Amino acid sequence: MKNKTYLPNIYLGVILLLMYVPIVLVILYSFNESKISSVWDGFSLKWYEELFRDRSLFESLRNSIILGVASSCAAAVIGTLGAVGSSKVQMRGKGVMEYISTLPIMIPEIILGMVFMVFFSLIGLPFGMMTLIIAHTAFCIPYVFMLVKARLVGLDKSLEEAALDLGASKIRAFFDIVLPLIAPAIASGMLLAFAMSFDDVIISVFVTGVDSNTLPLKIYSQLKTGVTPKINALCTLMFVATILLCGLSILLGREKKPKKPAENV
Amino acid sequence: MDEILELRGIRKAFGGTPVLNGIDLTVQPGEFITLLGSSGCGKTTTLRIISGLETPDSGTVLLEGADVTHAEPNKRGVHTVFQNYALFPHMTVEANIGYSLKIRGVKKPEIKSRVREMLELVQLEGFEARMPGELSGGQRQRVAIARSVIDSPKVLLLDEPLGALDLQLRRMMQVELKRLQKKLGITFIYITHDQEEAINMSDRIAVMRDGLFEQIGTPNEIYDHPKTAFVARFVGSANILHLGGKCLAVRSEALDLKRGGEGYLTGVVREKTFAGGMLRITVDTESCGELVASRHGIDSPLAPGDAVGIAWADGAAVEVEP
Amino acid sequence: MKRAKFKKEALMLLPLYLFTLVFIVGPLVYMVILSFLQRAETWGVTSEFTLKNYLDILEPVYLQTFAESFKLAIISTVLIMLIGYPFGYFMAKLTAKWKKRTMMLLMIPFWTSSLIRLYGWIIIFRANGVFDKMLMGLGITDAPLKLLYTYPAVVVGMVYALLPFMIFSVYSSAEKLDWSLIEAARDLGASRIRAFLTVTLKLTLPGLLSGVILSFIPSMGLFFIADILGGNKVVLVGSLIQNQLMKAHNWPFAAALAVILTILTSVMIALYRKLSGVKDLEGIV
Repeated sequence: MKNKTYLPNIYLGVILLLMYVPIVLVILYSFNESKISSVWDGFSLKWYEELFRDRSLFESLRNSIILGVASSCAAAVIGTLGAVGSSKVQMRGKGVMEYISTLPIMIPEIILGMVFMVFFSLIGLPFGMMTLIIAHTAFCIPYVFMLVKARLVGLDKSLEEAALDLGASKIRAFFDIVLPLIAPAIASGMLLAFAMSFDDVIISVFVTGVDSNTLPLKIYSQLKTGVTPKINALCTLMFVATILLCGLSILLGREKKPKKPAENV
Repeated sequence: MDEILELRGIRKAFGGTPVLNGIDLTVQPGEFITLLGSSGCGKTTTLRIISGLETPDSGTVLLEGADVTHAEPNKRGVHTVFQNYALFPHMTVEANIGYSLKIRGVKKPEIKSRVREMLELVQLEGFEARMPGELSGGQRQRVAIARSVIDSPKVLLLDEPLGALDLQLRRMMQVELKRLQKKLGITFIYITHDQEEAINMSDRIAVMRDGLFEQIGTPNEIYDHPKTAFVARFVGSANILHLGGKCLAVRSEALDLKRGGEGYLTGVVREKTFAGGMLRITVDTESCGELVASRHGIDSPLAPGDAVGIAWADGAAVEVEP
Repeated sequence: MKRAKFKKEALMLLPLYLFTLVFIVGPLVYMVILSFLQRAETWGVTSEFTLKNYLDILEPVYLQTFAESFKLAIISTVLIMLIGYPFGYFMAKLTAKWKKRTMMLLMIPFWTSSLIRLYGWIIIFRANGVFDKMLMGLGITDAPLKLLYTYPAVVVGMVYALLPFMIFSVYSSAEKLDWSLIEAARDLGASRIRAFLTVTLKLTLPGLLSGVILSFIPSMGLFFIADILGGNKVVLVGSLIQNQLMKAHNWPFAAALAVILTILTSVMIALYRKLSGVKDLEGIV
């Protein structure tokens, strides 16, 4: 290329910058002494203090964590079993079933939330943690399923066969060979699922009960009614947690780099 | 001597396409037998049926006289060296080699010492802690073999184990594999499409074609007395001549060309090429099509366009089934 | 023996299939049934079959909601496309090291709770907020614009929330692009623009279309963005469904709305598959 221009790089930089502006503002104003977010009254940690005194917020944080862990774990078991099973069994209707099971991330969330709400009241399931976990598991499964399936496609079939050949039972070969090799995919699927669950508003609005407020629901209702900078402080803490999770996922995703193979025999 | 392995009338089809059409084979203990054939002839499927990774549609597999046709692979005492080695990428060399012992519940210190013996055997001392990804092709190959022989299997199956190595390494490994087999006394069933490799290493060769054995015999038998035109062509790149209602196989080096001379046949030299240390002279004949004669050296007085008479010594022509 | 082997492994599919049948197929089927039922006088539904719910959608007020919702979705999607396509395209041209870094920088806001990001926009848009201060400080305006609770605010919120999907989709197909093809086209005498239109755009079309779907479909349902940034002024199909369900308690009507939305969505995905010849949405996971 002759006339190398920096325009594309500037464009990328500006858009990225714009993406961070709202987040930076939230963090900035969490340290604001003033209650009004348009005025800067000096640095203060008082909103963090207030945040830690708010029991109901911690309650909803706890709920969100329980919900995220429960549904991503359930999704990990169901999704992994399904993906492994589907790689071994050939039968009619398999494609259709797989398509339907990934619908929850294809159709608008609002529809998913609504059908769960009417369905749960039809079968008389009381709204609360249970219904939240079922609904979240439904949209967590596809992430695990699709990632594990993709990993299995790339997995050398002869590895499992080698284990069988060397005397391992099918179950043993699964736990010794297949599971460790697909573990990174399961972990990233779970992480993604947890993040989605932890951030979900739309579906939760429909299936939550009286005592099962999640953190996003709590923030949502505060954003709608009236905001105190306490929320900024909370958001900042959540942002820090996100960065930590992000770092964790990168660590998980990084494959061990093999040392340079010795060329002599 | 009792057979260690016997295949009786094995048939197998995949999705309606027949791959094996009723093969029979008996293998003696300690034998090195090679299944030789081009790709798609059914040799890998035969191996997978012996190891239990595939079940035949009909026929019987006997191991030391016991019917194991439907036994699980882990109940057979037969191990395979896979074409791509199939080393477990998340385990060290030591864990890979010791895997079959670990499954059997052998104590850790014993596994450790047996693995060390194995590494000595394949000349990879001190490689215990390496990961497969850190090994070269030849080293992986040795680890795969060590892993498969550590618990002294009755039969070792090798699926083109040298296919991924370069020529020089292949020659070295051929010698080494043979040495290993003699030392361990394990029965080897070896797959290759390379006739040179088969002749170099095997006690017997089974030439396969379209899911059937064309001929089973010692390398000498196969080379000197091919039963069919296919075997003659595949193993010795022989010329097949149809003369007087008979089908004859004559090796290229046995063809004698005389300019303007007499012979069993006459033809015209088309081209000369030098390959594999030999000069190959292609001759067009009227009655038998294209023939190839080979000579040592890099040139010959014959030139393209020369009319030649073609002859061969008595006994150089072997009658084969077409 | 073979039979037994087959059955054992099929058992692994059981949890997935059971869950899918009970909690996905069941609710979806019930939604369709519900949409044909009559609303009861006070609470719940009667088991009478009716088409009334679908006919109700044809009322101007609801049709208008669909139209508004579509309009917003189209505006947002076009903006997302205009901003996101060049981003994904330029990103694919970076060196491997910078690709990784840019991806990292994209992932952090993407993983950050959507509510936090939404809240940032409230701070920006509210009367006398950051945006107003900036404009007034620069002397562009002399009174607060009061952008919060307006249509543009909702559009910005949508674009901001959904932009990453477009970028990931375009990037994943531009990354696979064989740049030598473009050079070949240029070599054969195509102008820069022509080479882009005939080669680049055509080859990255699956990514672009997948990005369009991934932004268009949610933008009809993300009611909380319309809620928070638009006040009551912007009503989406999503907000309508939510209102009918939670406030008006007219479940059959909400179900009918959802059925229509589902059909629209499926048609779009089917169209995408037909146009791009790709089965899975690019860059979805």
